Amino acid sequence: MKRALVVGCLKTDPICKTLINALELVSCKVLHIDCGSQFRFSVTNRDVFAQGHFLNSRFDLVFNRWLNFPVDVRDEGDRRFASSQWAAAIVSFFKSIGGRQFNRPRVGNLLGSPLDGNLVRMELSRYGLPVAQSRVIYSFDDLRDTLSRWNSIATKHEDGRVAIYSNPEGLNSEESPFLYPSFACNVKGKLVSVIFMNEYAESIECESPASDERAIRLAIKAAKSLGIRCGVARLLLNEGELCVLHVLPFIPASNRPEINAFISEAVIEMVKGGA
Amino acid sequence: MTSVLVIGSLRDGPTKHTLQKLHQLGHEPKFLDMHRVYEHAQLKEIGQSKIVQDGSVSLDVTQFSSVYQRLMLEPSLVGESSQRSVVHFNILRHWLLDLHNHGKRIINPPFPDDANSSKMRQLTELAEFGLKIPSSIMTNDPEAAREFCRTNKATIYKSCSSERSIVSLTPPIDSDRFTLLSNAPTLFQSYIDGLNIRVHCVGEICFAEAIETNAVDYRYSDTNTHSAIKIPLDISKALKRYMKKRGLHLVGADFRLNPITGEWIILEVNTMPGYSGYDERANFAISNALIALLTSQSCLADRHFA
Repeated sequence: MKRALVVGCLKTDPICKTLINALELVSCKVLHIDCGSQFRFSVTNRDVFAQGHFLNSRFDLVFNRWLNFPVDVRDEGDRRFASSQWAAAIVSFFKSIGGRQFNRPRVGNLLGSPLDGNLVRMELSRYGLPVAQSRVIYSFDDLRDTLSRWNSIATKHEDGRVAIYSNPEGLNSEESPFLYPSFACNVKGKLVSVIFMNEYAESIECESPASDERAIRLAIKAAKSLGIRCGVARLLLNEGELCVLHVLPFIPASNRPEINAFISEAVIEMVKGGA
Repeated sequence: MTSVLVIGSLRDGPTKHTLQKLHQLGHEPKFLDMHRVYEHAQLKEIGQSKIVQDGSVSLDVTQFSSVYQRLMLEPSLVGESSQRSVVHFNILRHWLLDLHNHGKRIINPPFPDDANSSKMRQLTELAEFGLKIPSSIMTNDPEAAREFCRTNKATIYKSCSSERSIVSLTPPIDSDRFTLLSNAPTLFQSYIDGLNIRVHCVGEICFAEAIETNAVDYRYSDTNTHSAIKIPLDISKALKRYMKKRGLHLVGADFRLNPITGEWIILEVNTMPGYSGYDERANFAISNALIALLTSQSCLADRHFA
């Protein structure tokens, strides 16, 4: 019997339940660790414990659905310190558990950062994969000039907000009240999302079956290049050409039936296929 | 002559020290001041930055063969982390990774999974290289921490990330402070009442200094005495293997010498070490080695972030 570990919060993340159900359906022995505010853990030189469970025994599959830190903060300095402690802890926690992990956390991308998308694109260009154009916008005039060249821009801010601009004529400074500088991407074209887990992938909101196949191939190639086993690739389809906008190293918490169906199917196929 | 780029702040001791030493040895390094970049730069094209502009200075990055960087977002060095400084910090970090991937020598590359950012993970990695580590627990469980303190004669606690903290003796186990652990995990270690040893490794060369102190954390004491000490061969070999695996060229490793067994016990490895004070006491041997590495022509092994 295969042993699986799911670390995540059932209350806020419906995907945890989907994973547990799918794993039990293929007779996996599942241990769920809730990483909500009551989560208590220890990592020592040799052992790792959480919620009273001894986790050293190797799991065949480990699903990391740790999406938020249980941080109780008083001010910005406190937030910075506590966040760094949790990030450090989670990386070490998963390293000590071992097993095949979806996904193993890295300090650099644990909760994402404004420029992670740029790091992803930079790395993918090194592998020769097509990526969306990126730059930094420094002012409203800069935004307008860039928009006239790119036609459609997404800007991302320090707090994670994303704004899309697509009409240079109608643009005015009062409608773009964000702080400069801001990261911007050329998002001309149709957004294609590909959800993937290992070799299993499915496109969501894609234009045609032909581009589906191409999108899936590009998404899997991008994920493998980055060493990400499970997540969502955001691609752009513009005049028949595909490029990578971003690869998220996790599947966002969702109640969408098609996402849950994909996860169930991927897990079942993966276990049956000998994962 | 090989050209060197230094990135940092003049308020930062090691940056200033390295620049001075480069000038003294007849080099003409370019300096990219983080303050100026954070305040004035326009670094627009990401991932293919060939030019770094900071308002008055334009740098063609292709002309540099090596970079010494102290890129950081410490509020004490760069002021409050405004959106502007965070954006520029990230661009420079990615630009350095890009240069590293194109074969430039970056001391050290700012890898996103910097080993020092998770101390417990770093310790387990160091143990895999044959280095002795202290008995440790990283936890947010007050009871587990108390149990660890009960079973060890004396313990210390410190930050488990690269955020700086003052290493202190753990308070008595009935202290209310243990309940605060649920907010932020903390690293506890058995206290080794031995000689502090700081080892700086620059490429293939290691320099060790013993620090005698009455303080738990010698960095915050002004009554320390220092002396050079010979580093055992197995320790320097293990450290160099670790550096090679991690793609590091300069580290500052902290050890304690167990007074009973004579073992060197490693506490942590700093991947952006503040080395200037140790260098002055070592008659500038560390900076000489660093500058030799920055200005040598040898090629580097590649290491990618994934």
